Amino acid sequence: MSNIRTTVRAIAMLALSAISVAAMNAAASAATVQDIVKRGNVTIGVLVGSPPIGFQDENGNLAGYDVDVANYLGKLLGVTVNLVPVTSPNRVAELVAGKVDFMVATLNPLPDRAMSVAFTIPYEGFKAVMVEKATDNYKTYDDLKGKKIGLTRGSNNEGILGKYVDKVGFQMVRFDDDSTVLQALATGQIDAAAEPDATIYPLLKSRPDMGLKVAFDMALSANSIAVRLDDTNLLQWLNTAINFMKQSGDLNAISQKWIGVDVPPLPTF
Amino acid sequence: MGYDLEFRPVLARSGELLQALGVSVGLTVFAAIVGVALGAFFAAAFFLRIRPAIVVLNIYIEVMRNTPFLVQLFILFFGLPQLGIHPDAYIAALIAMTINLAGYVAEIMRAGVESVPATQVEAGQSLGLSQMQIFSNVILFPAVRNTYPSLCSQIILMFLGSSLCSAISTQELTAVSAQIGSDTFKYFEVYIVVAALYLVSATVMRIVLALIGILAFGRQEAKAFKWSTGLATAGVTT
Repeated sequence: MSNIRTTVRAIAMLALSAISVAAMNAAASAATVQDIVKRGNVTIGVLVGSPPIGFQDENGNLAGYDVDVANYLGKLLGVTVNLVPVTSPNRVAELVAGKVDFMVATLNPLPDRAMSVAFTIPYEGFKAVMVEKATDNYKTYDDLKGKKIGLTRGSNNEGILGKYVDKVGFQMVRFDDDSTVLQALATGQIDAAAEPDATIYPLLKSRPDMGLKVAFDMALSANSIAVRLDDTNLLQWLNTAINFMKQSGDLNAISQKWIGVDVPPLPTF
Repeated sequence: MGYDLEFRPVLARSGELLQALGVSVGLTVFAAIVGVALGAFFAAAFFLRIRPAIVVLNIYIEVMRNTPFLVQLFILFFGLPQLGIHPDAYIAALIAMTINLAGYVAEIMRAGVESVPATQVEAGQSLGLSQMQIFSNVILFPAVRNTYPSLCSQIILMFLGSSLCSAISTQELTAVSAQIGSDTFKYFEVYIVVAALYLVSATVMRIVLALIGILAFGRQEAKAFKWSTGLATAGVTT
């Protein structure tokens, strides 16, 4: 009697796991435009922890530049949008593991990375800036000799700062997201921080009590949407959509809303 | 899904990984030595019935055991600067791991102290030993022997907990693995390699601790207290 129960339970669990694996696969691995339209929904990964690019607002909803871009693309496709929050360390893993169809998560299109994922033409461009306490006065990289410079692990600033670290002689201190970096700067645990201007300028306006200011501009980095290497069908559609957004002024509207500036000139490839 | 694993980009940076593993192990060894010593001191305070110390210690132990280690790390790293102290990430990690481990060890050793038969204490008292002498000569060794498996487990847990120190920018194994992952985008591969490194290191630690136990307490005791896991891993048959 208990043998039958055990067997039935085992079969039920096997069936459930098989169904859920199949459902998971069905949900994310089909990534041609036709499949997405037929399915009626699209799963998009967006960055969180980086206001105003991607963050959770007071009601716990995802909001930000990337979120608006993702929703806009879903509207163009004519399907419902499932947003999946990701962070800098795990965003690529989510894409490659098939959890999302594509990733709107501020990814810099570098050749090393392009061996693992496919990048669209850039849809946003941020200037990296060096942030310091209001009492400091760093003018160039050379002023940072011997100092601790904070940055987000795995962000575009790794490459930008990496070019100067040996030449100038400062220490790169890595945290998991922008908020922790700025907290470290505000509490004096680091001397300066490399952050995207889109994050910093709104923060300086809304939180003057943190006592921070921009030291100098670093470099412009353009960010792309990422899809899995084989999804060339989806890649082409996304490129078309991004170009349309740029030409129609809709991308500009999003940029003005979240950062207060127009979209900078972005390269295409 | 057809995911092709490619370990070469990760293994090419094995030097960095091993160096970071050294940081993790170093943190753990320091925390283990100082934390266990501190825990023994705290257990002595309980045995010697030092009233004010007991009140403070009870609060401290409950806080250590009932708050997340990550929160403790953040409080140390971001909270202390408000008081004017600026620990760097490595020092903050050392302190956090040590005081966290000391809290758990104090609780474990308190149980160990209570497990020593009262007759031993009375025998010590009848010999005219002071309470402090009784603690260090009569109680301490059997207490540690009785609770040795728990102490070893707690040390290994602290080693695994060191991975959280990456959140306050300590460049230990998990931090470096996240970095290699974001540089190469080979997240699956790097985390498999790092998991293997943690597994091998923790196993080696267990073996070393088991051997220390045999050295200190003898094989017969080891058998009596059934340290099967540690000894079996060490390949010691009893």
